[in-house]
Amino acid sequence: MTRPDGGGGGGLSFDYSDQRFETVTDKIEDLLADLMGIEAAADMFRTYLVNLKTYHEDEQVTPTVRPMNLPASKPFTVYPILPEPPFDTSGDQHSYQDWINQAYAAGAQSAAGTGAWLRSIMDNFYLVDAEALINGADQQAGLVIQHGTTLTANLGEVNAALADEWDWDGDSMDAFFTWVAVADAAPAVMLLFAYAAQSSVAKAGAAIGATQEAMMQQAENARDALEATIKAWHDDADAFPFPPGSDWKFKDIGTAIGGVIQSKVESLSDTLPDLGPLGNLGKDWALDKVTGKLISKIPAVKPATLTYKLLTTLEANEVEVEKQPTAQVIIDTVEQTFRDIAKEGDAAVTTAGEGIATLAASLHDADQLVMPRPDPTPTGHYERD
Amino acid sequence: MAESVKLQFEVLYRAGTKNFPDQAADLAAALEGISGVHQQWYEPTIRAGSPAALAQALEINRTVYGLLRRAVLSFQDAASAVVLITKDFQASDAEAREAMHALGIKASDIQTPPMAQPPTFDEATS
Repeated sequence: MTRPDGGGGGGLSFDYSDQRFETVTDKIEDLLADLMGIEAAADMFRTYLVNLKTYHEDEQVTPTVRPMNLPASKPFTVYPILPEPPFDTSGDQHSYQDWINQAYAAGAQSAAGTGAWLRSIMDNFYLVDAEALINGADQQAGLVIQHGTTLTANLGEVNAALADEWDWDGDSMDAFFTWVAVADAAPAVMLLFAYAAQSSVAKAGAAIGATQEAMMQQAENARDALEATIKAWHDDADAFPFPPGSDWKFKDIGTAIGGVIQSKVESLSDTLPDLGPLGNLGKDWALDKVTGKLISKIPAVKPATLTYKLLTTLEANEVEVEKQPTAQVIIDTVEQTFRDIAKEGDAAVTTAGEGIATLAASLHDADQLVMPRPDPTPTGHYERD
Repeated sequence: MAESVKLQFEVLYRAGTKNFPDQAADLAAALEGISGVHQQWYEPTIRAGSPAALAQALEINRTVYGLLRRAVLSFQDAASAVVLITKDFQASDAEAREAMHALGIKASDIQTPPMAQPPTFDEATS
């Protein structure tokens, strides 16, 4: 399942989509392959230069500038100073162009599968539709308010009147009075549990959305860093096979993630729906502690959509670094950054679920909420006193 | 005709033909909403690795659905019972019949509206 770009229904607007994340991580793979290919070609020539023979068949070899094409994704010409190309033992002449082509291809191959691997690190967040979670939470909060209000408006008066004003002499009379008491309270309590469930989901959805924002941002930073590094190789082509100079800068990846997601969630705790009147429920839950009147204590619905928008404004902390990273340094940093984001995102989702397990257990044991089924055809007669 | 008889009849009539069926219908609408939300949450929960915040919420929704469904059936049963009692009341008590006529109610009006049995959770979410 891939969410459409730019979010979906419900008027939500956020800076993440699965499709965009897939696109940027695939782009990272392409750029990484390009950079690894370039680096492999440069490394091959540097190694060769160390072992450069200045004599060939007893004649002195004079190194000269030998322009050649570096077959990167955007091919460019490099100008290494090299002697005559050597000959291998089989007698087949290999040109420097052959060498650079082969070295680039071998280096580029090392990046295969990087995009899928990066996405797998974010497995609990990639392809998770946070919008669906939050919109569903909003809907459930709304229906609890709507039906809870109707419930208290309709039932209390009728039940009170029935209890006072009828004279059925059948055996089911007592059972019916018991039913009236339960019917007056139990459905409202059921809806309170539904409210608590939506609260937990809204918080978790917000945490997932914030995490997705962070991983999207870091992936884009990584892409930018790779593009900048490759551009530096292009710009300093005349220095090939030596790395480009250090007079360029790139956006840092791996900006400290610690605490960012959780602190966002915590700073917005006032705007997130809490678990409602059942939030502090302990194991001593009993129906007599939660009457139908509790429904009136359900907090006003706080739109999770607003929360989501706020949570998705994680700011990039851009740091300029004046040292050129290698492809391996970049991808190692991306990996560590993604792992840090995933770890913090998991923690935020865990925090979102605090208390919900206790509530679920309480509900599971709440036999008082299992409404009895009155006999639809009771025996007896109506006998006024 | 004593006002108390009229009040008794009216309360019974309204409970059986309107209030209880309305309550059942309202809770059935809540049921439908909860099953829809449940389906909306299900796939993201699985993809997110079923963390407690989501998995337990799904579990609560499933349980609440079962309880509310039983509540719907309970209100429907109660409506049928009260309609039967109301019919017995007007059939056996002259003052009740007088009250019925005074309220503009015909004997044939004393019946529950159509009340559909809500789907089970699995039926609603399949």
